Amino acid sequence: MWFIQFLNGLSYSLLLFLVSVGLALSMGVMRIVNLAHGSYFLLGGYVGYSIARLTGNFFVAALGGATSTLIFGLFMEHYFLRHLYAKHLEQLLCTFGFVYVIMALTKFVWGGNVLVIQKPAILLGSVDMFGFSFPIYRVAIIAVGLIIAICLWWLLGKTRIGIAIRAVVEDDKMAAAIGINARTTVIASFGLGLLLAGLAGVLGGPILGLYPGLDLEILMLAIVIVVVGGGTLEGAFLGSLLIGFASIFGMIFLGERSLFVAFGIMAIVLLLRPQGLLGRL
Amino acid sequence: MRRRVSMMVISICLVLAAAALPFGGCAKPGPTAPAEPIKIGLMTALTGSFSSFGIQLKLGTQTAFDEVGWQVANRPIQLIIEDDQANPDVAVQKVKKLVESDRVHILTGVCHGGVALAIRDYVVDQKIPFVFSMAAVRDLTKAKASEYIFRTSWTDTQSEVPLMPYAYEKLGIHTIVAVSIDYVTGREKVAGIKAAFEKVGGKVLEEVYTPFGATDFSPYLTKIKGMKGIDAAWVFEPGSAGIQFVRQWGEYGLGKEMKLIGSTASFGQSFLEQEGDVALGAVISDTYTHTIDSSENRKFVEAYEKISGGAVPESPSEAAYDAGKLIIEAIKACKGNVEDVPKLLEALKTAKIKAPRGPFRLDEYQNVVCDMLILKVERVQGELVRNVIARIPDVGQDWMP
Repeated sequence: MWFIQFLNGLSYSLLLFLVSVGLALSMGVMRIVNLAHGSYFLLGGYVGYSIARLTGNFFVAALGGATSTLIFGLFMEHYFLRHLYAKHLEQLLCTFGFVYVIMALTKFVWGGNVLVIQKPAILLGSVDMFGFSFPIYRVAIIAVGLIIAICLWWLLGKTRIGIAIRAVVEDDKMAAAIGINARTTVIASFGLGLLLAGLAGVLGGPILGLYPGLDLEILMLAIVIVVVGGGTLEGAFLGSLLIGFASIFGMIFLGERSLFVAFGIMAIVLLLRPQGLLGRL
Repeated sequence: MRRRVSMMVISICLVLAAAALPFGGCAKPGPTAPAEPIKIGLMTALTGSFSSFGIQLKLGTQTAFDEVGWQVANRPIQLIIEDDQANPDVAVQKVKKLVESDRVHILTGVCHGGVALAIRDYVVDQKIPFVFSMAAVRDLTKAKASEYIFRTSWTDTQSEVPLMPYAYEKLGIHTIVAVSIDYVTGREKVAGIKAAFEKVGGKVLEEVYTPFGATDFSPYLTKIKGMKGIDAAWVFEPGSAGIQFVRQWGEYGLGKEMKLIGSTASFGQSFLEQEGDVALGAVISDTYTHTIDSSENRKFVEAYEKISGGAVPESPSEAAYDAGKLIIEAIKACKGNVEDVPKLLEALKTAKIKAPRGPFRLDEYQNVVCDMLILKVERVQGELVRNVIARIPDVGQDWMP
């Protein structure tokens, strides 16, 4: 039984990772918390839902959801956030305004009911292990999550644009001083975060469902994870595992809302290590 | 000087004329003046995880008023609908709006037990009769009963308890795990079925409570899968949580050793298709199913389907319809004079209606007494339906085996 619970925790953690690494990326380059990040997740999920209903193809839906989030986010950046550069408070408020805009838009188009995306046919069913069953779909989530984590590690560690992103995240003034184009880097980083958030929304669709309020729930978890992790990308990975497992095991033993456990961990970590687990002071 | 005086005189006359206009109607009594509408406020959850029930309350209430052409005792009926989102905080705002701003004469509706309790005191203080058509929290018609509170649906234990002796004697289920969503109604249900089940000799080996709003039950299902010696799981997961729960029940391989019984909340007709074969064979208790074989029911189902666009009525729809009919009969009894609240209350208390579910009456706490149906999910002509396999007569809110 515990192995299955471990897998439950792992699949949930990796889903959270996809969302929070995007937030860490955009936080790192934009220097603000983009409060609309949870809304990107939900929007991508909803668009994916509609595409899945239209085409019957989950993979097209995942692609479509991620792309739609990318387009929406870039539009938001280009026409709104860009004009507020260096005005951090205004940028923050702007993203918050968009939370309400997306909330109203999604309620209008998709309604207030909980929607569930159908899993792709080849990922239906369960595998039997130790007398327990575990859904194949969640195995796929674990696989996809790990693959993306590895790809990100390679991208950010071994490619030019990746290293440029890391430079801007760690020290944007120094990065500018050595000639890294801030604008391209910001767009690339932000765009990557958008794609991941939208994708996560669709991937999470069959498990978590899609409903008004999920945007804020995911945003809360993502913020907690990024803070616990220390704002770095490795931190986001570690933070996701910590919060994800704690939530799952919290549900088993306490049956409480996972948010309580998540915030509790954040409080403890910040008390003992204010810069976060893998953060730099 | 003269012109100024006449200007003043004209102005004063205009003001007096304008002030007199609202009273002009009084001078001319008679059928030419349109009758003041009777305003009925409907509070229901149109968004959120309870919306599938909330919409049924809306349609059921509308069916009842449709039947009488939206007019009773020569007064038009105006139904004002507010979305409480199954959220007690929102509900408190909305009920205030209905009472103070819309000035409704009667209130009805409410899906969620927490909402009902949150607004109960305000409604009673404001002396507005409230015919609840779904919220099942027991206290509403017991500890917090009031002459202003009526309920046509069921209490949380009333609709569940009759299943337990049936499960023990007829289905051979002697040990269960009780799974419920964690809020007041869920906790009351588990307490109720536990008492009834243990009375007939059964045992509730474990109780599992899931957080309100959760749609991912993986850790709970895995935990249940690890439990030994359990014949069945009794489940109360309402709305969209129920659909997810039943689907995941199948994914985590639970149907193999454990039977599935429980509340109709997870096995409403509209959910069965999304749940698929996992739901097959589930045995549940409910006040109503659209397959009841009576002329009264067939008439109701037909009228409801016209408004709903093809969806069949389920127990919340039927309870809302009964609430509407109760209100209509009461208005008739006081000849449309709903402003005389004591008369209206007396009329609501003594009104008799023919309910599609069958026998229907109110007990001394103004809660419904009716038959409880034991239903089984079966596949009939390719479609999953709930069929009546037993009928437990005259079940009130305190019924025990």
